[in-house]
Amino acid sequence: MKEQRQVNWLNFIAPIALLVILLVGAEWYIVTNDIPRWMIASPSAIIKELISSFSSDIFPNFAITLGEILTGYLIAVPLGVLIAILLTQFYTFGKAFAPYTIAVISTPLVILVPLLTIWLGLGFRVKVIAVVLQSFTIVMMNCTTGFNNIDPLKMELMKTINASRWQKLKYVILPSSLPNIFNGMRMSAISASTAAIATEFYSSTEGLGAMILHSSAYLNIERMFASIVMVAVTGITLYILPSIIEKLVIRWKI
Amino acid sequence: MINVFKRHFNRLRKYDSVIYPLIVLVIIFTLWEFLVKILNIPETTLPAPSKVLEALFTKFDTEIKPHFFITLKVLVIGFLVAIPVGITFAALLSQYTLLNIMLSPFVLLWVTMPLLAVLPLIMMWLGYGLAPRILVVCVTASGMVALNSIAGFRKVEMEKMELMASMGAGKWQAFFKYIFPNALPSVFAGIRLGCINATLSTLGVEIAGFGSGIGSRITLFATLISFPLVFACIFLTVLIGVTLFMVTTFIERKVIYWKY
Amino acid sequence: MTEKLKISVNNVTKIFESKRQNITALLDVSMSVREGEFVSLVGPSGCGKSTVIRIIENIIPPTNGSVTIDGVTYTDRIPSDILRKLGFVFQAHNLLPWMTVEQNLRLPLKAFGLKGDKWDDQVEMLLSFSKLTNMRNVYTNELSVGMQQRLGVVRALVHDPEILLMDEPFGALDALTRDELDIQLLDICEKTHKTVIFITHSVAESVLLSDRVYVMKTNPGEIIGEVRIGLPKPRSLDMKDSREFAEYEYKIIDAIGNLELSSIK
Repeated sequence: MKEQRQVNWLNFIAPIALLVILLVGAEWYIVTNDIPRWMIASPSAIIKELISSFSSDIFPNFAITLGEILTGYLIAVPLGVLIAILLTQFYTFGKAFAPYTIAVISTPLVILVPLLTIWLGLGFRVKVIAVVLQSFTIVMMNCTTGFNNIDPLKMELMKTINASRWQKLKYVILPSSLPNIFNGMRMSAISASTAAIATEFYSSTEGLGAMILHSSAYLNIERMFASIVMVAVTGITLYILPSIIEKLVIRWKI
Repeated sequence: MINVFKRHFNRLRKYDSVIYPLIVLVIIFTLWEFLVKILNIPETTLPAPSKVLEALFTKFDTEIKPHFFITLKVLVIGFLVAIPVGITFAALLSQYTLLNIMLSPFVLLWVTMPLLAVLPLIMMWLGYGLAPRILVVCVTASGMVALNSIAGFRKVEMEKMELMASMGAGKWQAFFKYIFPNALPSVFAGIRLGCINATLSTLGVEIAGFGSGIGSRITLFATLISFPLVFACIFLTVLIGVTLFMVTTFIERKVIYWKY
Repeated sequence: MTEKLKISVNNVTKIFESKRQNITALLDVSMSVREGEFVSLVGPSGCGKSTVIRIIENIIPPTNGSVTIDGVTYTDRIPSDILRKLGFVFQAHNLLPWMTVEQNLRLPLKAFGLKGDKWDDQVEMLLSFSKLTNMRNVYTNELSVGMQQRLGVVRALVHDPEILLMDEPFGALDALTRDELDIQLLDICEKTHKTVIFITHSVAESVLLSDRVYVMKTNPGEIIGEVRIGLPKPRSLDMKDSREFAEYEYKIIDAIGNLELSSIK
């Protein structure tokens, strides 16, 4: 018991300690060795920038990027689940589109961004679509794994009660695959943020990606680092979100 | 009526996996060609598939080929280096608990951070060559490999802890002889995901305009409104992505033969 | 006097095809069960007992032969009104872990579309019968094995089927709980006049519960004998000590021809 408590405390302290050591070390090294300002920013300068420009520039751009990603994400997840259902439950559909799903999963759909921009113009819409295209594939892939690996015994149970296709989905297939769905959500969060940043690099005046490009053009290193930090925050938030929802939804012991 | 057909060709059932997709392909192609011709859709909105194929074959050597190979190079090198890097990292982390405790959050950061975003920074340090891009691809992919491998190693170790203790083998001996082979499915899951993310990173930066490669051609041809070439390049990208993925899956099947 | 046959398995053969070889699980198996009869299937592991019962329930189709229930014969597809008359109890409870006790119990009612007070009363009755009323909102993974198995049995009874098909339902339980459940099962069947096909490894259990016992052999699965149990009903646990009981056990074991069967007396 005492051991466990010690380990938990260590779990918490150790990475923070490491982070602090790295930051302090970097700060000291940069300042004492007089590293040129255009190469790297010292941690203290980054933090200063973060705080000073937070409400004026950093937060608004963060909110925009986060908004793009969340909107796209919220569309992509049900879409991925739906398509996975169609692929696994309907023989014709599944057989007909199987090789195309592989193509769609293994190719980054961001390559459609230039095309989409020409057809739909710049702006929020295009970015959301890019995020949707990139993330629904991963959700779909994980859901397919889940839907194809149902305990056969439970399907036998469904046969004994004459369950219809929809009842099978509702009572066995979907609940049984919830861990896969949430895992798909986690994995696609990564693709989603990457797609959003890539699209912003391509064509945008707002959002974190745009901010990175602009600050690099103007050699505002502190702002660039600050933006990168915010991108990291975005990434982690999106990754953790499904886990939180999972804890709330799956209240039974697996 | 389709049912009548199906009953007659029941013997051909096992070729369904090939026939159905082919039918879909034929339908899409003919419909596409048909609609473009009938509705007189301008080439600047949507080109006909025949035009796309024409562009692909005529222009490949001159304008596309070098870029195609650059993309391939960045992707393959980044990906191949990422695999041993990720696995080694995962091995170290799983065997040395202190390291694991200290670095877990950083591994999380490693995986969830869209490393695309630091590319401008890295380019400032390392210039405009292929090196920064390969670095980004490698770090992204190795993150995935590492994450899944760690999970795999720890799962195997937890399950068989007593067996390991009874074997009395040294830490690394036990690792190579037992943990690693048993965790291969997880490792390969990581490799597969790493492959997908590597392709994403590679092409993401190209689309954004950071250098050469087939993604940059897509951007270029799009701005020039040469749509047949855009579609041709998109097709080539799909080819690259799918081939890499299929090769990875193929190797996975060969190595983890017992799972299949 | 020929009573109407409730269930009749007609010359069923089942061959499982796999990439390497074909396995003949059942070869020309025929059985018959009259209304209200309690019939056991006994035999060594792998002799196809589970396969027979699954063919009757139409979970898997026979390669050859058919099943007749109440005069209706089927092979590939069972008519839904016949399926409604069947209740299946699985070997490993097979409860849905993402649902509570009550939700699991009500599942067949939902699927068969049975609503109303009559069925709500049925649910309440079964909950109290299986001593699970206080646990109705508990997720099934948190129950003990005995409770889970009891739930599995009452779930098969909730839609009031005329026929019970039971695949070694009490195999995972300790001897005492098993005895208790055996007697409870007999009690239910007496009161509600159900027709039962019961699969078990235990010769003693089969003698205790059944009117007739079919004995099967393995590889390929075939019926090699039928033993009528003449013990008076209602049965009780102390009958297990009687000489008659032992004689029936011996008859069955003899029919198997060897002592492969692990008889848990």
